[in-house]
Amino acid sequence: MATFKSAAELTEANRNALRGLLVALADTKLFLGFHYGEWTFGTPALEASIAACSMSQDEFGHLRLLHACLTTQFNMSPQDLLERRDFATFANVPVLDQPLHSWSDFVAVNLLTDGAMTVLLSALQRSAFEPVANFVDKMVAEEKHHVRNAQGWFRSLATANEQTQTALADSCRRVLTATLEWLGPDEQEIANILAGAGILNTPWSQVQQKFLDWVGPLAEEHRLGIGLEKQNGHWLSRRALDFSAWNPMTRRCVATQPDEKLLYHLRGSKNAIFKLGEA
Amino acid sequence: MSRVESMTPPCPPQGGNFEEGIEKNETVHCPFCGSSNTLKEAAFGTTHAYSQFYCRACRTPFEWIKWEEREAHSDLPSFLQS
Repeated sequence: MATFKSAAELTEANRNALRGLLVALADTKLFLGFHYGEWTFGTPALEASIAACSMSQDEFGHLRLLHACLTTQFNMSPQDLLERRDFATFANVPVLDQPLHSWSDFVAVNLLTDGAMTVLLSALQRSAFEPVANFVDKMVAEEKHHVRNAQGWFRSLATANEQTQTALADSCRRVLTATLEWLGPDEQEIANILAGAGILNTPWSQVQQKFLDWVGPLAEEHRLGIGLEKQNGHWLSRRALDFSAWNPMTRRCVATQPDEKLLYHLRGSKNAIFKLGEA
Repeated sequence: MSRVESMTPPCPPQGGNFEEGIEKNETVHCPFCGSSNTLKEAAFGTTHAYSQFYCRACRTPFEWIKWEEREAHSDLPSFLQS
């Protein structure tokens, strides 16, 4: 399989597909970092606060790597990606548009949304696009700790009292639906193009199946109904999502967008006059 | 080392006989020389997640992530085990 040292070596279709996927990944990591950071305080245990803070730093680190790649390869500056964008163009997982209101929301996002991003990152390992292959192994190594943290808390809440189990199941169902919406349909042009060029190491349907075949048994182990069922040895969503209006650029089925106040806070708009290196 | 390694797993692995994050029959190996001739000096290190150890073989202090030995080889989904 041919390898590509820069975006200039890609076909236009490959370039557009990869740029779209990296922007969506970066947007999701931006919001994950923000929400993890917000949960540095208010967790049920001091250790969980440390973990949330650490994971936030990891996500922002990954965001910087992705933004650096988008800048050098696709001529998109961090200012373009953060400051000069219409709210409606953000391609993060929709459940991150709003604050995470409860600890069960946090755990569900940590397990399902962050976990789905990790499955995707693992599909970018050994990518034919060298600028991505160069940094993705480090991301995956760090994400292993996010997975451990998520699985640990998921098991803790899933074996707690009934009220806790119910809250966790409710959060997981909502977060899973939003995450599957972001992952999109089995067959999608962007993913097919990227897999065909060796930029993704596996077809998109297998990316999704790896994700479901990981979280399905975890939920089953604790008899927690999160909206998945096993068929012919594989896990599937009980409710088929309608992707007829799915937008591959925003990875959303409906035209939702991040909360205005949240994005204002996240961008640092209030402190814009203090930004360094800008006129 | 990743910053997130400073976190503590939310609960000890199930089913073991644990004392301060270490299974009683578990051996902690020195990350520098590999010796099992190690001594736990403190239950906590720079964060709650760590214990402080001393290697009697190479005379080096080191920090150890609680339950690391057990977690390092299990509990990760297959796509992360390569």
